[in-house]
Amino acid sequence: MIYELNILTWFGIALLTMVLIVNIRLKKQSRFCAFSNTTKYVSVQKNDALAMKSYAAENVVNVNKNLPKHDKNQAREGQKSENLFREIFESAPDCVMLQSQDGTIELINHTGLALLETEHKDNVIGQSVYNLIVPEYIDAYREMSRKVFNGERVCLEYEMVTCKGTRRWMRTNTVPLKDSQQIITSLVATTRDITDTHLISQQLEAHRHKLQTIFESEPECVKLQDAEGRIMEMNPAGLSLLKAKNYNDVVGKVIYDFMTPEYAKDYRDLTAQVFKGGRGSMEFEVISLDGGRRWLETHAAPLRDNKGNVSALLAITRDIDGRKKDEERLYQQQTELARICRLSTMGEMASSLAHELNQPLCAVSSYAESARQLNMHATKELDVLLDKIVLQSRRATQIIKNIRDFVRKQTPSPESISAASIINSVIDFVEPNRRRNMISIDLQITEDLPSVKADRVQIEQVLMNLISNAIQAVVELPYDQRKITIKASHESSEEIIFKVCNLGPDISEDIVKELFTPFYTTKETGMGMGLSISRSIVEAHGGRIWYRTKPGYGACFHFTLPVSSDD
Amino acid sequence: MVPVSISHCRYRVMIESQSIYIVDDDAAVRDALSILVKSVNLDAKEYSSADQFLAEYNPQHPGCLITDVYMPGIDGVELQKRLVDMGSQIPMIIMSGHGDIPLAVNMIRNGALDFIEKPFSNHQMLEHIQQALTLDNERRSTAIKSNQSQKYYATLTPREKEVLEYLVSGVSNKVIAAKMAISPRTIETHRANVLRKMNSESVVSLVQKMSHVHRTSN
Repeated sequence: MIYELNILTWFGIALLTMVLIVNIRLKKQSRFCAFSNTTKYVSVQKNDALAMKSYAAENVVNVNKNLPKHDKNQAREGQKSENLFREIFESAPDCVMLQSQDGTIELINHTGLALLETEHKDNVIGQSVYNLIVPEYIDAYREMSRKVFNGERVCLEYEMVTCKGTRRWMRTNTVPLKDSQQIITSLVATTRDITDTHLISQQLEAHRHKLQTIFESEPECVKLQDAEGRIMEMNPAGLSLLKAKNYNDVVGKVIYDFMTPEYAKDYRDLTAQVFKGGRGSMEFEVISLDGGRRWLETHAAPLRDNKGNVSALLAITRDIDGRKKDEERLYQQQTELARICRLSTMGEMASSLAHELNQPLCAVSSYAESARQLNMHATKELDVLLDKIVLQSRRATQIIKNIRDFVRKQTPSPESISAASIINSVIDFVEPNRRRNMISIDLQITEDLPSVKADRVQIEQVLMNLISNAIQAVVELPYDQRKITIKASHESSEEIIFKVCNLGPDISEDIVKELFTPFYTTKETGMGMGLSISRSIVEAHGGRIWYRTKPGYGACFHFTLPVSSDD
Repeated sequence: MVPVSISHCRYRVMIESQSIYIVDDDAAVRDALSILVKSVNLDAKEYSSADQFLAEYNPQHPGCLITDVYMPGIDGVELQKRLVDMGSQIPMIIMSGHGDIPLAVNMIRNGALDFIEKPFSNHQMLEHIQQALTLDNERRSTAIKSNQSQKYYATLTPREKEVLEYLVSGVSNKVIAAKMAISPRTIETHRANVLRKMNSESVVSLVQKMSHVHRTSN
């Protein structure tokens, strides 16, 4: 029965079949590529015609049978050429697409379909390209399209969505397509999926940014330097270390410009070592852009490139100026301490020396007196000489006594002592100095002052220190200003206050702060221990010591001592 | 002018052969002291150590001692202790180096006469020696007297001893007679005997003598 049907019927069935197939296909892909509000259903007819165009790629010669023979040959050749170009078009490894000015996709190759994750051109051809582009890039694409239809060639990277809903990054190169009249009819876009490379470059950028942030925020100076010492890179911490306001004040300059010459050689050696692949560190003094000097400690290591060659010296440098200064101070203090130990050993020596000297002195003194006695009235000149010998030996005795008093080590033994007696004994001691320098001492000791509870020798030491400081202060002044005042009076019912004042220039503010600090002295040969020891002694007795100027009296040192309860 | 003039007359030898004993480890100091002592006609004996001195010392021999405090071997403190142990009352003058004052003070507490600091003045040293010798004389004569009195006392009869006690307490013969239930005449006889035996001219001197005498009963 079937072969009885005529051609027309066969054609009709074929047509129907094709319609059915197309419809089924349409139903399967009812959701068009995303972001499109209008679902455009292409008319079956148009679709068909276009579909038939692509299906003709298999060298099927589709020629109108009704053409004359000559024309048939020309048409055949034309068809062959068209097939070739079509083949090239379809097999291109990148997506090639033709797009009209309003964005309608006119043509797309297989690669393009694959990119869009679809197998059917019907889903794409006739669609607006803008349905495929992620909203953020639509404007950019439109702009590109506009430029192309103006005759430009443009490259754009954008994100689009495939028919399956996947987002992909694309790079497209677009050119205008002209017809025979040189009118731009379409836009040809060659597009490549750069999703992977884009991801990588994003990661790289993130990584680079992280490293950059670390470099920028690192609180210590980080720098890169070449083999000649030229600074290639320096982070903000380093710039501020050098007191540089601008990046260009430092980068490009040679590190040796910032270093004192004595360290240059060692630094050169360090650089050479690093460029050979080693690591090293050193301390040096840097001269910052404001001229200041600071101590720095640098740790250097080689920076290698991809091939493993040393491309730069990477150094982290920290400011150790504070530490260096502390070390200096510590060294000075140790030296001073050693000196004081020697002095105290000397004190011991002085003590034993005094003891030893005493014996011969005792003999000499007695001999001289005996000789004087023997000579009585015999020779006048001899008398005189012997008197002198006796006098000098007594003087030597007194010196020894004074040394021993001063150096004597006793466990502090507080007793009830009167202010007047200690003041007077110290004044006796400085009498020769006072007289020689024509200094007047004004004593103002309140009558019937209660006794203080204190160790006599130690308080004498404090007074000795204050009074000799006062003497030194006035000794350079004109004679009428060489006046020292020493006062002792009630401070309260429980305290006696001692004041040693001298006219003359006041002590400056910054020195006042340091007055009682150990090792602080403004004298060339000073030890700087006097006031510090005085303070220790006074405070150990429960008193206070301080400095203040008083109008009329000049500069005064005050200290208090507790009243003795033994009276 | 330096006051070094000393009158020789003040330093008369009071008892035969008084000696000044000088103990010091320093030769020059010893020598200077010797010269000083001899210059006033006193006898000086030098010793370089306390040991040497103790080996030769005779407590019967009158004199005084001048010694240093710090010496190698036995020091001044130990020397004093040993002298006390052997019952010697020899007056001590201590020479102190400036640093030994606390020690010297202790020695004074333990019976030394005085201390003088080195270097000393001759004048002061001689004054101390004077004091020391005077003291030594007094002690000796007191000792002698006390010895003698003791001997005399031993010769008294018990009755006489009894009367002696009453006499020394200051009561009259009459009262003694009453207390002893003897006649006053007998008391008078006893009184005379006691005075005679005790070699005293009066009850007063008797009293003095009795202060040195240990009472014993026969």
